Amino acid sequence: MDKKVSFTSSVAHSTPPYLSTSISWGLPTKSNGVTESLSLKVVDARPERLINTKNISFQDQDSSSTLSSAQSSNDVTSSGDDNPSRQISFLAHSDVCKGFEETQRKRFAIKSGSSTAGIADIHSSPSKANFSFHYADPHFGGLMPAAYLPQATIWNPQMTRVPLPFDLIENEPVFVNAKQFHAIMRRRQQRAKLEAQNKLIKARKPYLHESRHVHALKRPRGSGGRFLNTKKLQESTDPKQDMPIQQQHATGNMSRFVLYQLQNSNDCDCSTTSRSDITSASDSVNLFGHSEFLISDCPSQTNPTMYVHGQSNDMHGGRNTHHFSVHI
Amino acid sequence: MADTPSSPAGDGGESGGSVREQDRYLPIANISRIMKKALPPNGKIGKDAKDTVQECVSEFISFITSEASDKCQKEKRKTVNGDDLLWAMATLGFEDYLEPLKIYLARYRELEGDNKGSGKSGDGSNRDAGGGVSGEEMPSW
Repeated sequence: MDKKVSFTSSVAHSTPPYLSTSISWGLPTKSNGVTESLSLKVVDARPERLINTKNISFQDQDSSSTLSSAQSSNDVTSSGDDNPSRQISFLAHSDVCKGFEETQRKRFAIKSGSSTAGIADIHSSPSKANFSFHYADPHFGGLMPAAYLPQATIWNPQMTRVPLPFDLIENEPVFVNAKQFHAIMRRRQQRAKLEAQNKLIKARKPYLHESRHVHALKRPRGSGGRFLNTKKLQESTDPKQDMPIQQQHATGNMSRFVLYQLQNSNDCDCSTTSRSDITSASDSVNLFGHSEFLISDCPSQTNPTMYVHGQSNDMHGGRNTHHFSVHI
Repeated sequence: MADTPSSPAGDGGESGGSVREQDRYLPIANISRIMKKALPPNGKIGKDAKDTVQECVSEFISFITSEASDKCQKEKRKTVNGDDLLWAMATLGFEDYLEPLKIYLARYRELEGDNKGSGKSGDGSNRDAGGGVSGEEMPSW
């Protein structure tokens, strides 16, 4: 029992520096969007705890994602909203408070630079759209005052806990297991040292090996973007018809950029859909399967209107995964 | 087809001087397989869940190994063995892990001790008990 609580505390103590850093950002628009989305996640985590007795925080994140998708009127939007904040919260796990602040600013500076240059990047466009969506939505503003109550509940001090100091005075301390206090401080110093030496992993590559990535791109695909095995390749003639369409979409880089602009201006839901699909595709999940999993109440709502194109990336040890982009 | 993927390839070119991803994180495919064992047959795992667990387990390994390394430095020993890791887990409040890991370590030494010399068996037990900790953490110390 005590062990699990300690582990939860160890994981939970990483979240507050992200909160403080987002408040102190020089970019007010993005920081507001990120803070609001994180607040939404915290609010959703509260009712889930009543049902689920497990205290591990990353499982709570999964539960909150499912719960928020069930609660929201637009399920796909909720799925898309959770991704950017969660990706940013990952960085909070591995970074020290100061290192986190510097790294985060660098990352957003890079994103701003790329958007200014007008590069048609698949990853940056949905992320940018999500931020603007957060900022424009009035409901997120209403959730801000309610967000502080569950935080107080989560960080209640206990008998065997020691307050962990923070650099920013305005922040409340995070309580951890007394036995782990010195080890946590030592690990923070080690991570800060690695950060100073520029040895921390900042941005993950979509693949590790170029040759494997190129090989995966050349493999024929069936309907839905899945790779064809040897038998299916000989039997069906569909890939011959599908290949020209994929090639047209691949070569039409500018047309895709225009499509993203249209989606951003006309309907924010489309870009959010693309964002969530890109995320879900990484673990070799078919798009329709993913839709059925998230939107269990109305599975037929989105399936017929979607048209899927598949790409592939080699990730983490050469494991091939599918990468989808959706156009409505 | 080649235009769009080449853009991330160009952006993600090999950066000299920074530590590679595989040096600081466990392989995510192996983590996914372990996580899938805890799911029902039709369960799915999101990419963000895998990334989160990958960072958690990698940091946990560094956390335990840092405590064990601290003890070895005080005792002026260079090799971190399985017993040091068990001691570190007890010190950090993970006592519940000690009993199953002691049994595991004893059985492992029975099997591997005969095949290797006394010097190598220490490294072997260290490598196994930490799940590859010594290999990953040596460069960062």
